[in-house]
Amino acid sequence: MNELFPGLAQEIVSGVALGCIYALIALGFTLIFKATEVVNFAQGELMMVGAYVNFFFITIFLDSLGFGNWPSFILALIASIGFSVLFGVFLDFAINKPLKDEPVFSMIMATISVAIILRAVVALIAGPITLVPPSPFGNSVIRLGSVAISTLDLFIILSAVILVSIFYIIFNKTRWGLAMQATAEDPMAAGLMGIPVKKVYRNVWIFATIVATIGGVLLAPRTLLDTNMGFLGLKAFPAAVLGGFGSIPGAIVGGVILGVVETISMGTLSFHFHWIKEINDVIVWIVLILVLMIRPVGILGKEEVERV
Amino acid sequence: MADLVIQNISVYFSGVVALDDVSLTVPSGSIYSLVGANGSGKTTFFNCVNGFVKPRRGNIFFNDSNLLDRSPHEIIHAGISRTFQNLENIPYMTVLENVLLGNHTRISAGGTFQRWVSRKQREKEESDGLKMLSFLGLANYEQKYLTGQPYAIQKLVEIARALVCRPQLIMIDEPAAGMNDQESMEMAKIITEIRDELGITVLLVEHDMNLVMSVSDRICVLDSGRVLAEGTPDEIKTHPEVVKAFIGEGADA
Amino acid sequence: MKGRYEDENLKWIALLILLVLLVPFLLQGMTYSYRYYLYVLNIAGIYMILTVGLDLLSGYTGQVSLGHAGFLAIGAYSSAILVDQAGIPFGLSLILASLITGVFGLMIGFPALRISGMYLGLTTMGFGFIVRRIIIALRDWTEGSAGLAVSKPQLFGFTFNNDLHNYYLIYTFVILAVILARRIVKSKLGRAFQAIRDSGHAAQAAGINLSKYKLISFFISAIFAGLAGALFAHTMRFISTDHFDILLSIYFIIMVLVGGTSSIYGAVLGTLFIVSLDYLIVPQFKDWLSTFMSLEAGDIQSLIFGLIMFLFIIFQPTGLYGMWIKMRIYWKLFPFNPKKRFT
Repeated sequence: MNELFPGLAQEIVSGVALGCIYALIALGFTLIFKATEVVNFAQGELMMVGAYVNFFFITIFLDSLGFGNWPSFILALIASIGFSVLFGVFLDFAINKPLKDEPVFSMIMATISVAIILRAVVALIAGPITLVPPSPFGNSVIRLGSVAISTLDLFIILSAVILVSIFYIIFNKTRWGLAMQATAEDPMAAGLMGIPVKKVYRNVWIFATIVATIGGVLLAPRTLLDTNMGFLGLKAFPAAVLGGFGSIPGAIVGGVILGVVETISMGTLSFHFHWIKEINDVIVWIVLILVLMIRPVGILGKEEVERV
Repeated sequence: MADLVIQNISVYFSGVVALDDVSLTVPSGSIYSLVGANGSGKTTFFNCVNGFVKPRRGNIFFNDSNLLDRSPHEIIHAGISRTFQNLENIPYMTVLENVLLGNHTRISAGGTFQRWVSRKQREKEESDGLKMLSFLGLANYEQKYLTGQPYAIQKLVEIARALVCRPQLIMIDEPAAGMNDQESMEMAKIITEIRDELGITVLLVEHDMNLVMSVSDRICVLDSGRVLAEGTPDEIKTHPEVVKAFIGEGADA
Repeated sequence: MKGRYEDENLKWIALLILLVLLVPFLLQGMTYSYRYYLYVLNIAGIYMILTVGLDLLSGYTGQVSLGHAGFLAIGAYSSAILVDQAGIPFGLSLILASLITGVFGLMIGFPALRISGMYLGLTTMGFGFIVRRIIIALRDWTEGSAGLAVSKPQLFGFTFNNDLHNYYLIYTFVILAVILARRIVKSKLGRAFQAIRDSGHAAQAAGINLSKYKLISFFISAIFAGLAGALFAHTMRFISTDHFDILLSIYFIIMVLVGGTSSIYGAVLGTLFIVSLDYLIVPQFKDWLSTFMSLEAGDIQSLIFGLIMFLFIIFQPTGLYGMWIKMRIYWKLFPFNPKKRFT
C-alpha cells in the first residue's frame, strides 16, 4: 500500500487537472443547453478553433512583433477572446437565427454539420501538421511533498473553478441569469415578459465560445495541437452528463470524477490489473453508464416532474 | 356491484396537501361530477384512481379489488379508462389510430401478425374504433391527422379513445374547457349518451357549472383537497358551504 | 371507405420492387462506372435496413440511440464468426446474428427504462464505444483491430460473387425490412411506440406497459441492425472496428432526421440522400473543384459534405419526408369535411 500511494496521489492531481479541462468543455455544453435546450456537438471543435487562433496570435506577438514572453501570452489571450466573441455572434447568426422556431433536433444536426465544417476548414488552413504550442509557464513544477504539479495544471484547475463559479453566480444570482432560465423554460413567455430572447441566445453562444477558447488555450500546451483536439468534445460529453446536463457545478463535478478515473485507470489500475488496459479508453463510459443506472439524470441533475 | 369506492385517501406533494382524507362512492351507472376551484385536487383524484399518484393513506376499491395494488397500465384491465385535462393525443397518428390506441388491451398480439396478411382481420380490428367514431359524430375524421384539428375534435377523439375498450367507468377531465355554450351543450348530450347508450359510469371533472348541473346524478365539491359537500345537484345548489365558497358571503342573488 | 388502406397500397410496393429490380440495368445503360454505383447502392441498402430499424426506435418510440454502429458491428462480427469459424450456413447465420444483436438490444434497453433523452443518447454512445473495445479485446476470434476477412454469402448452394449479386441479395432484405417496418408501425405495436414517444400518460392509461414496449422497440431495432451487420460483413468481405466508429452512429441518426422522423420511407430516402451525398455528389464536386485548385482530398470532401448538410438543414429543417407530408396534409384538409356536431 505504501508503494502504491505516492503514484496514486500524483495520478489524482493530474486527473483533477485533466478533469478541469473536461469541465471547461462541459461548461460550454451546459451553458448552451441551459438556455436553448440544444446539445452543441461542435463544442470540442470550438475549443480546437480557439486553440489554433490563440497559437496564431502567440506566433504573431512573440515571433513577428518580438514582444516579451508574458505580454505576448496575455495579448494573445485577449485577442483570442475577442475573436471568440465575434465567432459566437457568427454562430448565433448561422445556427440559431434560422432555426430558432424549428425542432431542437434540426438545431442539433446543424451543430453536427458545423463541427464537420470547422474541422475541415481548420485542417485545410493549418494542414495536417501537429503543432507544439508553448506554455507561458514553461516546464515549471510545484512540489508538495512527493506530489508534483505543473504550474500549467494548477492554472487550469484555478481557471476552471473560477469560470464555473462565475457562471454559477451569473445564472443563479443575477437578473441576467434569471432571464436565461426563463428563456430556457419558455421562450415565448419570456419574450412577452420583456426579456430580449434573441440577445439571450446570442450571449449564450458568445459565452460558450469564450469558455471553449479558454479551454483550448489551456489544453493546447498540455497535449499537442492538431485537428483531433475536437474529438475531446466527445470525451467531455460524459462529463457533462455525469454531472447532470444543465447543471453548472455538475460540469466540474462530472469532469473531475471522469478525469481522475481515467488517469488512475491508465496508471495504477493498469499496472496492477492487466485486463484494465483493454478497457482504458472506455472506462469513462462504463462509469457513466453505471452512474446513470443509479441516478438517471446525473449526479447534480434535477429530475423533471411531469404533470398530468 | 361496480361502484367506485374511495376510502380516506390523502395525498401530499412536498408538504402541500393535495387531497385530505377524501372518501366518496361513485355508484354504478351514474354520472358523478367533481367540482372545485383550480388546485382543489380534482385531477389529483383522477391520478390516484389511475395509479399515477400513490396516496399516502387510504384505499380505492373498484369491483371489490383494490386499485392501489395495480400499476397505471393495469388500471384499464379493471375496467377504468380516462381522458386528460391537457390533451394527450398522438399528433402524428390519424384519428382512427388514436382511437385504436385505446383498444390496445383488447387487440391480441397474435392478431397483429394476422393483420399483416389479412385485410379481414384489419377491418375487424378497426371496426370497434369506427363504431366509436360514428357514435361521437366523428365518422368523417378517421383518416385525418390530429395536428391542426380543432380543439373540440381533439377532445372528442380522446373520449373515443377512452371509450373504445368498453370500460365500466370512464373518467373525463374537463371535457368542455375552452368551449362555447353551444359546444358545451353538445358535450353534455354526449356525456349522457355515454351513460344511457353504452351503459358506462361517468366520473366527470368540469368547471362549467351549467353542464355539471344538467348532466350529473351526484356532485362532489372539493375545496383545498377536502370534501366540502356531496349530494344531488339540487342539494349542492342550496348547500350553505358551497354558496359561501363559490358565490361569496353576503352576496344574495 | 375509399382510401382507408391507401398507406398500405400494394400497387406502390409492386412498382417500387420493379424499380429496384431494374435499377442495375438502367445504370448499366447510363454510365460506365456502374460498378461503383452498384457498390454505393449496396452500402445504402445495408444502411437502409439499419436506419429503418433505428427510425422505429428513435423516430417512433422516441428513444434516441447514438450507438447503432455498435449493433451493426455486433451483427457483422457474429455472422462472420458463425459462418467462418463455427461453420454455420450463411442463411442460418443471418437469423442467428440478428437474434444475437437483438439480445444486445434488450441489454441496452434495460438502462433505457430509467434513462431518457440526451442521457440515453450518451448511454447508447458509450455502448458503441464499449462494443468496439470488446471486439478488439476478443482478438482470438476477431483478429482485434487488424480486421477480419469474411467469406462470400452463400444461399442454397448459390454463391454471391459480385456487386450485382449482392445488390439483389441486399435489396431483397431492404424490401422485406420496409414492408415489415410499415406493418409494425400501422399495428398495435406501432401505436404503442408512438404513444410512448408523445404521451407516456396516455399510453399507460390505454394499458400500455411502458417498460415492456420500450424493450420490444430496442429488440426489434437491434434485430434490423444485426441483419444489416450480417449483410455488411459478407458483402463487403472485410470488417474492422474502424468501420463502426461513433461518427457512423451519428450519421445514422442524421439519415433518419434528414428523411424526417416517424416515416419509414423517410428513413430510406434520408439514407439514400446522405450516402449518395457522401459517395457520389461530394466526390464529383471535389473533382470539379480540383480542376482549378490544388486541395487536400479528405478535408475538402468533409467540408463540402458539412456545407451541403448545413444548407439542407437551414432550408429544409423538417427533412425530405416533411416536405412531402406538408403537401399531403394540405391536400387532405383541402375540402373541409362538414363537422357533424359542432356547427
